[in-house]
Amino acid sequence: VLEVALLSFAAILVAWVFAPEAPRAAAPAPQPKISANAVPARA
Amino acid sequence: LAEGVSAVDTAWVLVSAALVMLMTPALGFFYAGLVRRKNVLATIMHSFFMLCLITVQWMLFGYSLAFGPSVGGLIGGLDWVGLRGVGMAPNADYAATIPHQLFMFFQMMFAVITPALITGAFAERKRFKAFAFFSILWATLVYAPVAHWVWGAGGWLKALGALDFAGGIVVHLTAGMSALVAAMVIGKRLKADEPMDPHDATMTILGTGLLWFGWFGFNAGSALAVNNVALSAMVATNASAAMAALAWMTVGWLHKGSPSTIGSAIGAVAGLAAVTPAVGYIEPSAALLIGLAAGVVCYGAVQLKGFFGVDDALDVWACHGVGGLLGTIAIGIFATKGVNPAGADGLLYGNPAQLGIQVLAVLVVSAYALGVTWVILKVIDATLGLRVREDEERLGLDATQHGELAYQH
Repeated sequence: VLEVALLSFAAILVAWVFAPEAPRAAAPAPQPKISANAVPARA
Repeated sequence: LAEGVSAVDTAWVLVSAALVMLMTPALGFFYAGLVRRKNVLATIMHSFFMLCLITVQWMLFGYSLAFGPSVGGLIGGLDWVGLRGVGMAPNADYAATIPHQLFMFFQMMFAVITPALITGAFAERKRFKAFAFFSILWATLVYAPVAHWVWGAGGWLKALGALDFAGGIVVHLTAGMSALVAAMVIGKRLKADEPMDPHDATMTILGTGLLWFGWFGFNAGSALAVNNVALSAMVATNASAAMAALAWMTVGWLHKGSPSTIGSAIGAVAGLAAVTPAVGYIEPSAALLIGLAAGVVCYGAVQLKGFFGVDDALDVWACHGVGGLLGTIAIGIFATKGVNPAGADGLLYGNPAQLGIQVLAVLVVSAYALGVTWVILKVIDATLGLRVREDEERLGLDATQHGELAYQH
């Protein structure tokens, strides 16, 4: 069982080497130009 | 229960392990609040993924390398690979009243969160594939040996008398120093059109609260029993976090003109990191002083980082590296056998030699973490590439690395 577990983990690591890296999601909405953290001017 | 196992101690360490487990997703939220909205999922994933990756690594060979029968005081042997021989009977070298398997499980949670801490340094620009391989190599080549030196039976720093109750050296110093070299090797984030401000401060505050809560298991659980040392560690943990948050907020208030909520949260984390090695060896009042020092010095370290132009994005070095260093050296000053007879006296209790041992441990572990992390990063950069492309960085890691977004609107 231990050998199978070790081999499985090794197989996962090898799979990562060959796994694709491609954008699949739409572009995120940009963060507001004016920071949401900006402190409003005092009256 | 096996002979010699205490039901009370076992229950406490079971709960403590669960508390420490919570810290890793909490760290994900703490960090995710500090990044821009296009990198939120990637940042949370850096922590969540670690819980999965290091659990498997630890069970298969990480635990054996860290705590297995010592090979020359430098590394654990392979006797416990796959947890062979790690059963329900206690191992007196580590904890005489809880099952050995529970000690392994408790330590697993420390091994999980340590590489997760580093991820704040290279947030918003590291390829996921590179991150994955970096994490397993770092856990194997940096964490496991250092854990063995300091905590392993026969470890050379342990034999020398170096003290680290809950991970100031093994966790925070290694992560902090590795974060510094990681930020330097991967380079600064691109200047963007949008603000670089934290996208959701409330997420960071929530993460801080959960980290603080989990830290009671991290530190008081490290007593590995229900006793006065555990109680002392819990009181010291809370004291340092509170004082560091107050100190950070106050210094920031004087420096920048307002008492920052995010600053208070980061200050609390710095105080928690700083006191971690010392809890269990010090009086509560010393914990307040360590917290005070952490709040002021770690705040200064953040400014220093900016001065040198290193983009340690989420201040891992300033909080964990400098905090861990402070606390480790503080043991050499404040430790007293009055709190923990199994510990040592420090400078204030007539034993200046302990301070020298603590400084030596800091120097050696820092140099090792810096050097080996640099090699790992250079190897990954030469083979897989560390950093995302410029267009990917501008688009964000959530879309380009994970194919999904945290916020649809």
